[in-house]
Amino acid sequence: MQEIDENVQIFISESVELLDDIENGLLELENASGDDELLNLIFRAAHTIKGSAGLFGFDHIIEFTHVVENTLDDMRNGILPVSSELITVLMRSKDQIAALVEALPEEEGINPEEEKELMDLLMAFRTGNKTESPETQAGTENDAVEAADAVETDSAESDADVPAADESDTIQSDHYHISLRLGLDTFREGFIPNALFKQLAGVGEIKSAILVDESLPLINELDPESCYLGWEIALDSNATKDEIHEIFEFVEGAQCNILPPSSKISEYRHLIEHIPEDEYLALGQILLQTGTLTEEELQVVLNQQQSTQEKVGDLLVENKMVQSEVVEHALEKQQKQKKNQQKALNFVKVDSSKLDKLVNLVGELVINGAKMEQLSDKYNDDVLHETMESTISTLEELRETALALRMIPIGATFNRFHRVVRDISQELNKDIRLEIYGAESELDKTVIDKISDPLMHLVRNSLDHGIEMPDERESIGKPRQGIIKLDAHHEAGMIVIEITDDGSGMDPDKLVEKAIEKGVISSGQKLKREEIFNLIFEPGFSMAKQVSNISGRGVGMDVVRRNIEALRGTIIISSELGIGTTITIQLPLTLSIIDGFHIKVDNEDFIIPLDMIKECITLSDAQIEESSMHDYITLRGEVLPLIQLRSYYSLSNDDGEIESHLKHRENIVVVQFGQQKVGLIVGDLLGEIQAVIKPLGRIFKGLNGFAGFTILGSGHIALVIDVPGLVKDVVSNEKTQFDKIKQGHIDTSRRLLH
Amino acid sequence: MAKQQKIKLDAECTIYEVLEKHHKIIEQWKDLSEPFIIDMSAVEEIDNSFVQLLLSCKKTATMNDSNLELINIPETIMTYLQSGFYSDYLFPTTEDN
Repeated sequence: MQEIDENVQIFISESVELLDDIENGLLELENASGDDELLNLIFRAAHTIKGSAGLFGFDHIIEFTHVVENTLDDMRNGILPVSSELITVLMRSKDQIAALVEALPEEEGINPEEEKELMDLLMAFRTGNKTESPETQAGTENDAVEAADAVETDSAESDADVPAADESDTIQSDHYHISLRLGLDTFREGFIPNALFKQLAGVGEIKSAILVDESLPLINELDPESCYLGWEIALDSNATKDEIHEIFEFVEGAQCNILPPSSKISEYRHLIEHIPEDEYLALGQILLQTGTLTEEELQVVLNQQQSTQEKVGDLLVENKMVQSEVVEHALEKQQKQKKNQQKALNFVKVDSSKLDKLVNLVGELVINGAKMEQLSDKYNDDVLHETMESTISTLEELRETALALRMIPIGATFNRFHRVVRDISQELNKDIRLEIYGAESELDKTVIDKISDPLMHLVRNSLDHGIEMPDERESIGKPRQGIIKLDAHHEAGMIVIEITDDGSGMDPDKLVEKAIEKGVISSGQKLKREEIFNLIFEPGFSMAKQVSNISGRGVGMDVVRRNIEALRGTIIISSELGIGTTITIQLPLTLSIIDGFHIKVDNEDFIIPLDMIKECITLSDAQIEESSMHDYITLRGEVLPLIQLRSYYSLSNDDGEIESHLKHRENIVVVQFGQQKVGLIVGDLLGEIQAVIKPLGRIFKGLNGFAGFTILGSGHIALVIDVPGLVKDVVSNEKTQFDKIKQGHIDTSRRLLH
Repeated sequence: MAKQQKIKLDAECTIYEVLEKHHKIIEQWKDLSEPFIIDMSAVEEIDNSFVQLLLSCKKTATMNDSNLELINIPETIMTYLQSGFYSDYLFPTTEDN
């Protein structure tokens, strides 16, 4: 039973990947409806899911996927045209297959009404485009699908001999077709074109040679010393393509495309089948190996591709160098090679909890290594020191490698938004395109998991409130199609994610008006531009005129900011009215390691996240005097609020008293998160430290002001300060006290009045 | 009746003389909408550059709904034209009804 469950898990895992391929393929297909390669890819994914389900006897999945597969088969055979409505139904069908797979081993009763509706819709699409009755389809389809996909199975083909050319191979002529265009300088270089015909006659029989006059100027425009000649030649020959190509090798400036005889399609197919699948080859390489293509032809096409950006396969067919059937066989081989490469354990799937444990253990090793290094300093032994240094270096490398195991590209998260943008655009009758940059940027899986929801919210906001309706966009001179860009890149050891839209932007005046209306700020309060945009993070704040099921309730942005700050990240908004909005999120690459600054407050060790520190200052006597009277100092003309960490954390001295006054030789660490700057009064500044951060136990869950703890090399525990949490807590407490005082004044005033 | 536009070419018609031949043809064939006759009786040697000149004349005549006629073609010259598969273009056959 254990073994069966594990195999089902593998089926589920592989099906999820294939379903992602289907979804991504359908999204691409919407913009490239003539892309046969895409259609084949989507079809093969569905076919594989069906086939694998068959191994386990998951009949329900087989039945439904079969209907989807037939629809895809009609599409790739050109019977059923690609349309937006059909793609929507196929997307829903993909979701239904996903639901069925997810429910395994249960099979029945999963969205039965949705499933029936989808099967009816798919049948309606298919019967609307076929002349034969639905009843006869079921019988003939299976055979057609199986025959067309014989290459997909691993079962042995009878390939001891080259198969004879079958009926379909002789649709075209059975000669080599040579398209020859001579270069302009052919005459000047003394070349005699007639000689080519003599050489061709030496390797076969020229059945016809039709002169092509497309480039030949009329008599008054002709440069008689330049050559404009070309022919379309049919050559009956047993020579290989390379041998024929050699004839034209020394004709400078000539373009020569040689299409092999149709009877060779079977031979090429056979040769392609025999190419090993353990290595991924480019399409051109596959065709070179089978002799379907010459090096020169490949180079011509690659040069063309640089300017046209067309696919190599399309160019080969357009230039009449290779038959389309041969290109298709080669592409199928390529797909198999790609799949095998992926299966060939370049990737290993590992339970993320095992990775967490590994990172944790490595972190412990590093800490113990640091302890050992400190101990070894007590001994004056060069060999010992050298060995310790080497050990520490290896341990740090081990830690970096372990952390890197958890790093995954953000692309998979970004790619999910294609579907979201598509579906919501349709729902809102808007035309919106999603562009993704930096999909290969990597960060810790935990961070990716936790950033998905906030990103989703931000994208939905752009879709709903940012991008205007197409007519409105056109009336103001914008393209009808709006753009949302997702960009990820590394910057100074952090990852920066930007969500940009070219929509209506935010009106600062209206934001202020709304904030005053909701009591978030008082009338007359002066705010900087960034502070105005940050108002949308206030709870309950929404500029939406209407609440939709997409956004607008005002319960999202404050949660978004909180989630990002919980990841030790920051979020900043910038916007231009009428032009668009950019939201910039900055996150650490990993939550497991922190670059921190080690400080001491009395006898206690603390770590402050380095990315939050602006500067460290030693107070002057004047500043000490100032701070003793107020809870702030003036730093370069700006007011800097102070937080006495000793008091905040209730650290008592040896006499059990908590000293609140500033002592000499205490320091200020100026920290900033968002727009808020605060000075933390600390004792000793002990320098930068890279620490493995560990979460506090559940018993400390309600404790504010701490993000975790780490173990120092000395073996002491240092608490990691949660700067945003600490500042918010202090501000909140002060506001409460201020409100109390204010109310106290009011009460007193009232008593006096009465 | 329009004056017959005609030229008689001399013996050498290769790349070395093709510019000169081109000029002469243009001088003689002033009205492209009227037929043009090239008398090849004296031609002894040709190459592909000259053939191209003839092909251009043929194309010009076709485009202007007129006619190019090559007359008195020596056998060796005709063989040359056939070996390069030019004759179908220069002397297209009309289908019988």
